[in-house]
Amino acid sequence: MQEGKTPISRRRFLKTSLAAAAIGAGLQGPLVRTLVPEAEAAGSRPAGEVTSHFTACDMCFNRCSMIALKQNGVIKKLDPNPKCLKSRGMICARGNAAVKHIYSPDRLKYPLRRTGRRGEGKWERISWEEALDYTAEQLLEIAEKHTRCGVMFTPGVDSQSRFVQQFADVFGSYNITNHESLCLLSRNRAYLDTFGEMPYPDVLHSRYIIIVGANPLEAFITPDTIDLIEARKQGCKIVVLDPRFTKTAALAHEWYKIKPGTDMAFFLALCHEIVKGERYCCPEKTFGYEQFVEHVAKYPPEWAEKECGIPAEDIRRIAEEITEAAPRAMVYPGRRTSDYEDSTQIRRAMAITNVLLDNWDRPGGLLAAREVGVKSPYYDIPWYDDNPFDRVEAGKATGLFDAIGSFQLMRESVISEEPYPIRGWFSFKTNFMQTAPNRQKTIRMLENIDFFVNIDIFMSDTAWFADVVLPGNSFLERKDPVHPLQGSSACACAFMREPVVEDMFESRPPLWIVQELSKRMGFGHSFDFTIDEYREKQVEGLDGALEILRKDGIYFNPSKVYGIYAGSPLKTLSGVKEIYNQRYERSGDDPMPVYRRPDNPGKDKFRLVVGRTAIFTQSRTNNELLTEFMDENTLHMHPEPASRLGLGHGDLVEVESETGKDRLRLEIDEGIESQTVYMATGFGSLSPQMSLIYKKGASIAEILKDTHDKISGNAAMHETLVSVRKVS
Amino acid sequence: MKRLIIVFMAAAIFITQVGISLAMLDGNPRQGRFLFRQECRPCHMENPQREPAGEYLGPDAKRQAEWNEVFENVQALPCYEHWEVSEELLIHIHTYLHQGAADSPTPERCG
Repeated sequence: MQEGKTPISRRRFLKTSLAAAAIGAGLQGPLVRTLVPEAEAAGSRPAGEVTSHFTACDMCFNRCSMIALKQNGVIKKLDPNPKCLKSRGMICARGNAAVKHIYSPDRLKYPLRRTGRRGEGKWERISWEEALDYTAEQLLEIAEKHTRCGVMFTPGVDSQSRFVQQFADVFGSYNITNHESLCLLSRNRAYLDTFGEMPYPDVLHSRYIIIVGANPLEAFITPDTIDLIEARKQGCKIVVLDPRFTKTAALAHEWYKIKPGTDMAFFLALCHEIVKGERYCCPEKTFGYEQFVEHVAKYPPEWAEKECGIPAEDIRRIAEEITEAAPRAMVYPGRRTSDYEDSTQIRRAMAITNVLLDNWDRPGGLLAAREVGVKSPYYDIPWYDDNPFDRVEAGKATGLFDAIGSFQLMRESVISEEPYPIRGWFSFKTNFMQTAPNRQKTIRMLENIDFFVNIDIFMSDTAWFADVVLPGNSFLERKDPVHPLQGSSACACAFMREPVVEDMFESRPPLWIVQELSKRMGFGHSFDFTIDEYREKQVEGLDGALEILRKDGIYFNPSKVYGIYAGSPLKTLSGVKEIYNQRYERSGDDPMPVYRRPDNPGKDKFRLVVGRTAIFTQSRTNNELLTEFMDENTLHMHPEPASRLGLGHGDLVEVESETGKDRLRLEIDEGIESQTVYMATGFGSLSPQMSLIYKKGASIAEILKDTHDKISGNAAMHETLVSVRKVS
Repeated sequence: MKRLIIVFMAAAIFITQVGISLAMLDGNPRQGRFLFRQECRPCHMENPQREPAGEYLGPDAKRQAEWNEVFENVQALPCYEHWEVSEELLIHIHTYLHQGAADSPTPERCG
């Protein structure tokens, strides 16, 4: 130690230097926040007993079972439920961070009514009584003027979404949609039209998996994400095709930097090779096998190499390897498939490859839905003679899902008022302002909406434009109905939530909100039940299910896993796997996938692809713990075009498409295809009350153009070409 | 005799209606859903709420061709006499069930 210097401990030195570094680097949050001890740690309050409570995560759709540890009325920690087979007894960073979800200072605390222009941020606090009276009055007024279908509902995907859906049903509107038309409808369409249902991949028992345009090591799907690693340890070969070097690509034995939008070329060539080999699926279990053999004759590997950039010899070898591993082999179906205008046909090509691997309903292949046994309690619905014939966007896509529709196509109808006007919007836990392509068009849609009510726990970008904002409670405050789930071959299970803590502030559960509204709107009898009564009806016939749920936090139904069909016909029109789809032919769609070359971005233009990291789920980015890992998104670009354009790592760039533009920092990424740029979802918030992500990075919704898959109506998020320029 | 004629005429109208339904199936599936829930669902739930209780029936309980068969001979259904829906509205129920059948493009589970 030098003379005259104040001695400091190593700990204090590190804290001081790190804090200085953080401030010096202009970082306002992450490092500093971690150095500040939690307020309660310094308090004098005696430590109370720690109690544990079963719950299930709601930080994404997987709903992994968790145990909340509570002390002095405060949730201190969230642990995984070791009995949860679906999550393999684990929870991820997002699950852990739910403690900051419930205790975020940004939470909505009481009902609000807009007083300024939409999006201006001027609100008045109102009582629940006033909020409910006003909302009921507005909805009834719109129904009176524009029929019941004049109100659209977006109930989200939550354990209590069923009550909002029921509310829409009982109110009398069938204009109901959710986020799924921004996510997985084209995948569902393709597999439904090939196998008769949407399968679950048995990753754990597979010997060969091709993953294309999916990134399950970051965009988690339980148990697939965890099972991929275990399957690899057990010798399963993993081949990834992705224009980015994702975490999943890093796990793979082989990664091909495929040109975006050319996946179908690879699969048609793969099928071309598989049908030539000795091992292939039995044609008698398929419809249209012979036509397909003829169809793929024009797609040899040499042709595919020119399209997708994957060497012909590798396509041949992969065809040999995967057929050798079949039927314990698969093309992984993925989840978000809202990418191209022919995304259903791209997934059809993948589904047909699975048909040829003969992996349906077999170990290591694609599994049929198992029986969980949880029932849907009955409710009456009304009939209004003046209601229009169908949902507003009916007929705008050949394979539209009747119960879900398409947000983008619905939005077009609201703007055009064709075939009829929609003037009201009731939303729970959806955030289309952040997730739906062409945000300005969503704002324009609101010009035709006379009344918009939004239930959320945060002032999301979508809530920011509402007329009335109702504070919902968080999943940790909830008493929820029984929720059935399937976790691949791991389990068919169900969970339910009991409140870990009481409702904070003036927040209320969605069931209570629709119960109160229903009373005011003349159909209170439709919601005249308690959650306990509802649960009893859900588990009728499942002996002891509620007791098991209370004891273990999760209920398993030991239903059959493999061979569910066991010779029974599939739920397709032909009763077998449909390689040639008869309905597509009738509706004017290609009955077998036909390759169409994607547009070339051209010089100094890029195809924008979007995705998410392991840290966040879509727009649920406003979390203090999670933003310590990533506090804004960046634009990933290959070093070659970046150099050509004079762009450097960390530069602020403007990304502009034909739809809109936004600004974010550049990240040089050698792992990305040179004509592709990438950004993560969930940033560039418009709402100042999403304080951690307000104006941080860019929003995909501002830049993506709003085109869609022609069959399912799913958004086509990878069809946007952009230019990039340096701002500073 | 007069009663016999009325029954005969009613049967003739009914058969014509069903014939039309099979040919066109242009009923209103939304109205069909409402009618199905009113007339059929309470007795055909997994946990029936009304007598006479039957097995679970939702649109996806049968294939499209099977629903057509049911409506070809709808009077033969054991519960037919309990229905309070007029024959002209049957087309809506048929359309709804056909549209959500197990092998339809959008199978519907719950009814």
